[in-house]
Amino acid sequence: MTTARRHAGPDPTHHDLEARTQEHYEWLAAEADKNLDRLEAQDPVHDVTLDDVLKRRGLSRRDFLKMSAVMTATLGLPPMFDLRVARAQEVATRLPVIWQELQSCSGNSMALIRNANPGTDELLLDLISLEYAEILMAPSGQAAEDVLADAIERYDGQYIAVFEGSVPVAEDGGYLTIGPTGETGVHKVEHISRHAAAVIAAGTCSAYGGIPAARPNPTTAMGVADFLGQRGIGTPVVNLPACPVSSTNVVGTILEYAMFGRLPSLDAYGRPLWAYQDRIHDKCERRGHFDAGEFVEGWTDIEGLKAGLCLFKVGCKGPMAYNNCGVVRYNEGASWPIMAGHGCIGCSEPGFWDTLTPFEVPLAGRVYSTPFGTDADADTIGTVALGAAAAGVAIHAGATALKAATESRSDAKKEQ
Amino acid sequence: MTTDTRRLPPRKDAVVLEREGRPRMVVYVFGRYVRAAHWIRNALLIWLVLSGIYLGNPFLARSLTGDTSSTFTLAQVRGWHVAAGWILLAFTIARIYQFLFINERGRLGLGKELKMAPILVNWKAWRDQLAFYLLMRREHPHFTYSNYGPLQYLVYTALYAALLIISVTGILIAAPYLQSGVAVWSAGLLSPIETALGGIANVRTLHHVTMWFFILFTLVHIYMAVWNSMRTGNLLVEGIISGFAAKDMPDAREATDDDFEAPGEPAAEDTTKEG
Ligand code: SF4
Repeated sequence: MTTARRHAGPDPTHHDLEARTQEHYEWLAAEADKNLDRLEAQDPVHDVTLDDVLKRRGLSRRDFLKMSAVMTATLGLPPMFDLRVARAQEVATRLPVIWQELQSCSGNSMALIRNANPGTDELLLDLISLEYAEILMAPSGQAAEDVLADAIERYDGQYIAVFEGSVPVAEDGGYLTIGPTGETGVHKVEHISRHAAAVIAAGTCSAYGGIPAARPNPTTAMGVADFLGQRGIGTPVVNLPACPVSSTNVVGTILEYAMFGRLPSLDAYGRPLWAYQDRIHDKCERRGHFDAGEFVEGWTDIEGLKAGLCLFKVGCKGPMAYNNCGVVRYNEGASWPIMAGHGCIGCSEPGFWDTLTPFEVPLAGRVYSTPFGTDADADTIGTVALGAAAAGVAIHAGATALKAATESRSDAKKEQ
Repeated sequence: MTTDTRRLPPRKDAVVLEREGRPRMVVYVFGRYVRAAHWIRNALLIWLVLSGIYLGNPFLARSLTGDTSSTFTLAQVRGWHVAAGWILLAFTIARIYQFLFINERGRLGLGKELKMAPILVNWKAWRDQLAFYLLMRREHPHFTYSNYGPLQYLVYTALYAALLIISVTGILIAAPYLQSGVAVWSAGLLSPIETALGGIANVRTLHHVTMWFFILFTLVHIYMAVWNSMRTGNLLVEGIISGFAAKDMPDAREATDDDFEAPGEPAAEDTTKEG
């Protein structure tokens, strides 16, 4: 994993930068061509072609190229990659994917398949060879297990494993058993990851443990990357947190893999930089109101809500969250939480359930459990401590006055 | 800079006053720089706490600020908060440099105050100082090799640790608001700290909690300064304004380096004996 690159070092001169960027893109393009050629030479793993899918969806080739161009921009690549991204989608039929549910609500799968207007994202879902996905497949029970075992064997070392949900490790993984034989989630993740070319952790639960890992974390839930690290399994992992992860980020990551044959560069928390390097707050349409100090004062501030003022005071955690929601939005770019009028809850941040709650007050209102049995925020605790210190000061001052009085009395006696 | 005058006879210039029934000499203990630094930092901290509370939870409602679409209230407050933070950090770095590297003669070397660190494990000094504060002894204990009592030494060290913590977290919070510059550049170097803390949310929380250390410190600091000033008659509170404070006559005890300290030396910035 590379370290965070949100804060760049001193800028090289503009001219240098341009030349070097161009050089870098040319190198990348060559890489992509090499990899796409290699994939194209392989036999497709299933007999769907791009043309079939386009016809079924009622899309023209032109629509498809437009969508590819949008995807290219989302990936942070220049227009010279438009056609390469389109090609990557065509050869995605040669990319086997295994989608495994763990301790999850299946919300990520739902978000992927429930889009109102099918676009690139769903298109790719049709194209990739989804070998195994409980939610989508027809077989169940032992038949499903057989499909999985068969896929792992056939595409050993070639498939992408997508996990959704956290890995509960307490009680030997007994909190999560899957399938007719009651195999534990722990065992499933180990087995599937060991034979995978790369692992995608889709959604915050599988990236960082998510809600199941919130204090007190009864099932000792953890993210897939942490779990694999603990078990010494070296398959590369990319984290795609958010609740649910936007379909664009899943599809983009798969496309990057198809195009370059490796996972994208990641930030310090294992997230692809192309999707997670910018702060929600810095790409937010309400940001002008934030800097102006114009806030929605509360949920009864209808005027402020209607004016689309900044949601910071009703708990927006955009300043603490990194994701591209504000740019790609959800449901085919229809909307996203802040646009809909609720602050960001920072769902793509590690440990957000513990560090960013309560969701509807600013971060300064974060609540701690105190030894006195009640919960309080830092300012309440601080004020109580200040009061206690003031009381201590008053007592000490009183005691000093008493002591000084007795001292001067005894001094006077001595002098007599 | 001033010449080395510390071998002058003990404070011929001192005015001898009768305080608390004893003769004491009133001498110049806090140089101009020390006093200025004290009050500038005091003002900075007050502004930083007030503006910081606003930034954490913008309490000025629209009804108070009126139309801010051209004044950008929050951005202004944030800008001046960050600016004050940089100035405070400059003072902090200068002070830490002095602590670590300025020796008895005011030259570069092993810091005079750093060499006082053994006071922290001097159990007799701890006993004496605590007994003094708990009103179990009347005389202020005198620590031969240290300007500070052990409690004081500990609290001031913690103060500088807190200043560093709040500065580092502050830089990490400020950087994403800026395009380029020293904050962005230094946040690049400091980003492993952010990762180790588990993300920007915890960095902000730490920044906020550390603020309360300064608020509590201020209360205790003011009380102890006033208390010491009254209890021992050492004019300390007046001293941080005028520069002059009262000391025991050198002959009342064994003379120490302290008695030779002349104005103009980089004296310990805060030689108050409170903790
Ligand atoms: S709504 Fe949230 S993300 Fe948008 S400007 Fe306000 S605080 Fe930042």
